[in-house]
Amino acid sequence: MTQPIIQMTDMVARRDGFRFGPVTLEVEPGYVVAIVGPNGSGKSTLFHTLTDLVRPESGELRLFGATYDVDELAIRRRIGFVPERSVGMDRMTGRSLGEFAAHWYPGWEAAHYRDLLKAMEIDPDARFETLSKGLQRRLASAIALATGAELLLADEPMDAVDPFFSEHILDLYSEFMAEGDRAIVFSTHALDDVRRIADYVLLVNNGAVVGMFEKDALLEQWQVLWLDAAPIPGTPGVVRIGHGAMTRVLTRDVEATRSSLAVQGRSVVRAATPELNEILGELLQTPAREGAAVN
Amino acid sequence: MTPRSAPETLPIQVSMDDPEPLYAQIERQLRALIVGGYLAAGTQLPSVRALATDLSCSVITTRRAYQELEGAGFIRTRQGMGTVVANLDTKAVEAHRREPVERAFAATIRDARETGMDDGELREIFEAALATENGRS
Repeated sequence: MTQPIIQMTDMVARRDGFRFGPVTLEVEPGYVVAIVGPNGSGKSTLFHTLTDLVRPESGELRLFGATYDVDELAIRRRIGFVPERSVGMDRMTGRSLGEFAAHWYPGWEAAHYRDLLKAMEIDPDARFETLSKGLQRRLASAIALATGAELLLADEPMDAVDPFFSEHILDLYSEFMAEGDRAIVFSTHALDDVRRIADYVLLVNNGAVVGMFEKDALLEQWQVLWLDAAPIPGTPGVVRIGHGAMTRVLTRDVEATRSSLAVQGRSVVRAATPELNEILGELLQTPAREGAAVN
Repeated sequence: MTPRSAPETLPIQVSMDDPEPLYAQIERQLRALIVGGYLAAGTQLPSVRALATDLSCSVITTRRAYQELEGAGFIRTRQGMGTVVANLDTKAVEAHRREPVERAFAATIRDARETGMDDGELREIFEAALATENGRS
């Protein structure tokens, strides 16, 4: 049994009157989890608890099997963090930020950091405040990726990064995962980022977890089917029916729907995989349940 | 723009619109490359993570494909050494040699049925295509 990197058990957190949870979930080493949800759904509160800016009000949060109450320093040194906003770095340069991080992280990878700055096209002697928003985000990722930490937490790391460069950064995130005992948890509004590197999608809404979904399983089980005629009401798996020139059916269980349609004598004219945003949009409308588990 | 840090090195393509599960698509294409002799024994394969990123799928999927191939003896994984193409015995190769062709024919036959074509017409097209291709070589 592998020791999970993140374990939340009935965890409830509160920040500025906003309540998040209760949530129960685990993230095991080797996996990339994307946190997705509408604005104000609780993504940032989740990162605040993971980085100990907010302590759980009830329930438990364990990182590497330990709690911040007992092992704060040890835990922090095993986490690389890309915050939503980088504070207090304005006068520092890429070089000085690297020197600072080197003192803090025992596994700091100095040579790798230099390569990352080059790959991110960042002048190591430029002051943080002189960099564009996109370059600041890139620098924040470069630092976190060089920490040698086992857990990378990133709160909207691709925000303000142009789409051409964000793909490049995602590849660097993927490289970070080459060491099999690491994990990444990142939030994003760009579902292309999710498609590209996530193994699981943690969907949050209204301060609760809708579910933790295996990305490929979602994309394989959900399908859009165009039919010659409308299916009978109550056809298993069907989530939505659109009537137009043809009947368009969205199903969350393609096998069950197809075998029912065969019995009904309906023909599937064409089938396609829906976009991730259509699937997640439908899931957002289902009532949230308490917590979710990986594997 | 810096070049991609992890360029695709395997000519594998997956399609979500293919009813075949993703892991099976990867397994089949990789096996065809091995059986076809394009990947020699000992060739280092990408890690499950690198392959997952190339194909925009999850490591759960790529790991399953590798596990199936390893179980069938086409590849092997050694702790700390990554995954490599295994030494194949000729019987195993022979058993899988016909598979891609049979699959292509099956798909073509399904296409033909959809347009309402009967077996006679299908044979006619096949014979004509065979003659054309033979004339070419």
